[in-house]
Amino acid sequence: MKFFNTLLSIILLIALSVPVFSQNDSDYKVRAQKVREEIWNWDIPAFKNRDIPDSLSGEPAVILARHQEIKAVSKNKFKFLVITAAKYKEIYLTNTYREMVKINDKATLDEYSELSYQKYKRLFRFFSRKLAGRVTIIGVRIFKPDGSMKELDISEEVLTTDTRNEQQNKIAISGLEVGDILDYFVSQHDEEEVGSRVEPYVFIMGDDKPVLHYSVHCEIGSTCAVEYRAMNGAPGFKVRKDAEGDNILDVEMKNLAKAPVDLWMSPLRQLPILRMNIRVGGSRRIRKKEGEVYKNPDYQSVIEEVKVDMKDDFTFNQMQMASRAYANEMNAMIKRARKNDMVTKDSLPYYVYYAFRYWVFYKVSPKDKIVVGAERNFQAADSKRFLLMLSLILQKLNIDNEIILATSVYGPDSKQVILTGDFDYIIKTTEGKPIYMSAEGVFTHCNYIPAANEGQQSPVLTPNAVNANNLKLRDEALQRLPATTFSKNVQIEKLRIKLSENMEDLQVNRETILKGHLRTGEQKRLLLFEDYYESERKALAIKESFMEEFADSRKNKALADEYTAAFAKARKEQKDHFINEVTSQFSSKPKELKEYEITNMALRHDKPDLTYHTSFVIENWIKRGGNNYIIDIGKLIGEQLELKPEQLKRNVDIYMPFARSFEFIISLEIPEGYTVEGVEKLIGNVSNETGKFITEARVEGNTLGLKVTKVYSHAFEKAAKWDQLTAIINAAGEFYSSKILLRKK
Amino acid sequence: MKKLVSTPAFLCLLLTTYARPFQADDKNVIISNKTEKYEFTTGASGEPVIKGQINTTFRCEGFRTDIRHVEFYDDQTSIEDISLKVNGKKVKFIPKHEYYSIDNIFYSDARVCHFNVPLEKKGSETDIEITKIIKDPRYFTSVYFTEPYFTESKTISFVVPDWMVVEIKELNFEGYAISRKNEKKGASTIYTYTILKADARKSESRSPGPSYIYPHLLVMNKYADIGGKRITYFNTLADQYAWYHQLVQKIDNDAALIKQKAGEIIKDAKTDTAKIKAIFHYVQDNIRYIAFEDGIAGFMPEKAQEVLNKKYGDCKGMANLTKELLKAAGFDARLCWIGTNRIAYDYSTPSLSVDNHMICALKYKGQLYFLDATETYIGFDQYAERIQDRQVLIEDGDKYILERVPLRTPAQNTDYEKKIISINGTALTGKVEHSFKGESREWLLTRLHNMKKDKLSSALESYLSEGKQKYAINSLRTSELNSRDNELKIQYQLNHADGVSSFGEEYYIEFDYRKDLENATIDIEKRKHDILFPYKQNLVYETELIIPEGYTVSQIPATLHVNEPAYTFRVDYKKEGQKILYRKEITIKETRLRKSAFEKWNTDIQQLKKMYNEQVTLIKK
Repeated sequence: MKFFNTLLSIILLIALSVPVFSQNDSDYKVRAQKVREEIWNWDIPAFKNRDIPDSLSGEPAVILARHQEIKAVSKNKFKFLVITAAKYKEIYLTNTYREMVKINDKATLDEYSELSYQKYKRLFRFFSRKLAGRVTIIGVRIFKPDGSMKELDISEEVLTTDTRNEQQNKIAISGLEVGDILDYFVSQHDEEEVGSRVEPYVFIMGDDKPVLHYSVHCEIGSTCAVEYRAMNGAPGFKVRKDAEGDNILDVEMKNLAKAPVDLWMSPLRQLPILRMNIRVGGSRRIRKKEGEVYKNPDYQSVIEEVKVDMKDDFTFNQMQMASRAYANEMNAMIKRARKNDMVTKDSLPYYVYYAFRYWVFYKVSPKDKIVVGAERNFQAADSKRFLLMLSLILQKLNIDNEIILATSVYGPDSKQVILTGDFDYIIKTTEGKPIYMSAEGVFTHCNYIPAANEGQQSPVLTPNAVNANNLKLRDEALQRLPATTFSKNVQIEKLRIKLSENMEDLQVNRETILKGHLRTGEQKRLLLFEDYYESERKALAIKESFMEEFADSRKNKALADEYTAAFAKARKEQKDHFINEVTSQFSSKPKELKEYEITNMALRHDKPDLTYHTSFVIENWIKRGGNNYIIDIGKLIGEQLELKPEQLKRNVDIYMPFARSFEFIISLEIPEGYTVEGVEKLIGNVSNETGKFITEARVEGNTLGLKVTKVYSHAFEKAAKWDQLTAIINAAGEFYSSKILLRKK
Repeated sequence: MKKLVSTPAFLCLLLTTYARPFQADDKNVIISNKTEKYEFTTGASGEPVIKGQINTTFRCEGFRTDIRHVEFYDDQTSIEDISLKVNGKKVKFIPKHEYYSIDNIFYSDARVCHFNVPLEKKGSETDIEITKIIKDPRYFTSVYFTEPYFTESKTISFVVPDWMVVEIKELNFEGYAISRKNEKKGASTIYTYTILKADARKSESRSPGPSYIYPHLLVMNKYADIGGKRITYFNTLADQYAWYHQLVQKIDNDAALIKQKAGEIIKDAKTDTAKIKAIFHYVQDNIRYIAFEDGIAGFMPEKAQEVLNKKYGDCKGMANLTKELLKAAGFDARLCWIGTNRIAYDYSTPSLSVDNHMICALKYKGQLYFLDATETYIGFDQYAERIQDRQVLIEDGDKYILERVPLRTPAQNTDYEKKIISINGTALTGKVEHSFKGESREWLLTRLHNMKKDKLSSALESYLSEGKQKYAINSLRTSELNSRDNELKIQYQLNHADGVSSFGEEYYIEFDYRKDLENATIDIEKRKHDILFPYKQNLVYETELIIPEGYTVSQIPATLHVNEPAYTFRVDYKKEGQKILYRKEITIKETRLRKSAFEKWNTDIQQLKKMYNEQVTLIKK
């Protein structure tokens, strides 16, 4: 709920000459006044306390009280709604966030110096144009150290967006100074005809500031169902019913220390969090019993909803028809490819995956915008729809498959899910050796599982009995997704190095191999559409390229010329992308990039490693001392992670992106007339359960050979292993500053 | 076999395409022709207005694409009509109108109208025709020739009826093919300028302001003799001042309240200087910079009591509050208008584009001092580069005073470091004193105070160590971090763990840790504009190394002395008894480094880098 921070980034804001909401302004003012009165009079003692414990006096900011109030009840419960005219029987939703913060330094003052909010929003859901939509009311008070209080005049606000559908405002918090206590709220009211829906809420019991009091109060009408999950040690709600039979949920926590916001965290698995869904819209649609509160519901109920989503997608997007057409087209392609012996029974699923990927990301039609530079490599697809369609096509081609509902390590685990969005999809073929299929982007391979999903215990659905209007899904047992080891996610750098004649620069001849999860980032940066399009077209045995098609067509002939011009431009830009790649690897911009070439684009699982060659000149890594030269040899392994003093101790578990390893094979040509010293200091070996950092060095003839291996053995480590991990990190950091001496004979 | 449609609808649903980054220098899209015609005419009320007709023809040279066209307007400028023609055919489109928020301005009347301009295929042309009305000639100040795209031909013309007196000043025409023609047509004179083959504008960091680098016309609207009366705009500077003066007279400051506040602020100050400083620092400390530039509020300061109450204001509000507080404390303080160094003009060309800033002047014992409280950590009688030596228009009742803000030497901003160190194994350990003055202090303090206070100390350590653990800083002590009157002093114990390389019986020592300007080589091929340094820097770093017992100096690097009009580099090593003394002084004497000096600069930076790569060698006796 950082309303304050985000507004600074707003640069362009939408306006329209005639404000649409102005007719509501007088109603708004009256209503805002009533809302403010009600909220300022909340009977929560924490908002009356303005004393900070001595132990927190050095903090830049302390949250004295934070309270969130969620209401989903019939509108007669709202005093201030008497004035509104809309007549309807639906649930009325409000969400009020109030916070009282002591500001102790200028940086915090800046954080809270402006407040931006959406005053009105027309809600389109279910055509509620006649109703007010979303109205947001704010209140701001400042308590001075002498105890005096000043309420901000909200009419000082300025309009920053004014369209048919939305009004955004912002206000500078006047009179606010270091030492003040700011008490503010943002209260959002939705007024619309509600169909059925799930309103999700997340309450995080932690912040980058200490919180003395945190409470949540919910009033949920008897026509709604509530489900919530208390995670990572968060307390559950206290639940009771009021006189009208509405559910009242309360939770309170006191004296929350500053949450660790640190390197390699997964907050959804580490901080106390309450997640709650309010299900609105009548018993038949909400799929839960009205008036009930479900604590920590079974994950199976979420799977049931995933099934409904899938079936909806299937029906609304006419996937049955589309998949039949795609399968026919695919069959034709397969036949052509088989003529060239390119598709065997075993390789069929692979062919289908890459052909579908080609259709989505590679294929060019005359109507397309011409996008052939690096930005094309960053295209992404709606992965759920992509995979559901792919699953149907596979089925049509008699390739049995199931859909794994994969959780992310940065979200709840499969038993803790509460929303359908907690799951990603991954396809797995079930005949013979399984093949996994996911849809991360342009360069995703078969058998690639996104790092965040690796190793997760996941539910599985099998689509079966598909017909025109119906998709039947069968539940399967939970499966654990395979996880890559450090030997699969590898960066190998082979560096052959010579000194320039004037002994001032290093000339580096470099071969790079990137495997597994370390591959895609550089593919996106470095590959050219022109090259990978052509490679995939040939691999799929597609006879004509779009360039040939266009050239042969009278209508689109000119397009071929235009693509040629666009390709030329992209190829020119590729040099800058390589310079950036070298710069980011060595934290030093090369003085000159002499050569660059992709040697394997790694477009498929059977040629999975991205390899490229670069040759460049690096300056400033050679120091002269009299007739001798000192070389910053350690810098050749790229800048290493340095832990900040506050990171040296750690008591929370470590969530790294994936297990990985790095190998540097370096050979340095010793210039004639010089000997090398300091080689023995380069040798080292730090190995433990979490990884290793091993360096080997020796001189053979006029060559110094150096091999450096760094391994992070696992993606996840318990907090207790932090010391072992820091030993690896520090050993690498130590090596980074290594030097050797070239002594004049 | 049924053939699948070439772009199946379903696949479109799947894809997210990323917008093409804006790249105008590739000449894929150019402006084949542009005309901007400004005609002085009369508006509905009979007052002079300017009608602008701006027609642009874009041509696709390489491959089809869309570009975004942006047109600005505000309270004083309205867009009356826009049309779009693709290959000669008018097309329907919906322009978006948005509030436009510029850096650091909380709210302004600036609006932007933008829309996509399709370029259908290679060789095709798209025309945009825009009609604008500028309601008050005072706000019509300049017209620029260059565009975001390469422009084959662009014509700017002014139709000036005999009743209107305008002066047009040509700026930065050198190096561009611009022709001019004046012709009399009936009761008007038409001034026409045409530029051919103009390169696209290129935005580069650390560039001088656009009025220094792009060819343009400064339009000075003098007066209009219309309907038997004369409407005077800015015929002379006196007219411009009069217009400003009538605005500031309407401010309505609450003298009593300000007097009370001034009394509180200076109650402990014994001397006049202490009182002045107390007031200046009060505004610096307590008023946040938040700018509203809404219509006339862009020119008229907010009431002093309002700024005091709100605890925020823009430069005008802060200048007015400073002035009123000083006045209430018995000093002679005035408002001043000033154009910062971003603006190429001075008050010899009266126009609203001459100034962009307001400060406060103090006349004390016959001398003028200037106070700019938007510079939060600058000291009294110290001046930020952006206002130094700039002409300043000072209020003086119905008259004005034209002065210049004093010019300061780099010594105002000295960043001085003194290390006394010795060798411990492969570490350099010892005592470091570091001090910052003027703008170097302001630069550092502004960044430090952007940090939360629990991170402030580690942020300072991280700044001093450049984020390296091996340059460990212990026992850090600083002078008061809010004080502006003295230099900022920092002391610490250093343990530079890898400061020494030891091979055989020798020590190799790197004396310069910071290596300032190491990466300052300019890419002469790419860089289009001069470079503007933020302020006149003066770095003086001295190191005293105690030679360890049993060692002698085997090699000391030579010295480097570079003395150019814009900068000096001096690096000296000296052996004195059992010590090696190192001194580096880098001075940026002129903040603007001209393109003509780039080559020499690069040679000198190369020498400096070479110097940084030289090490001192000590050998066992």
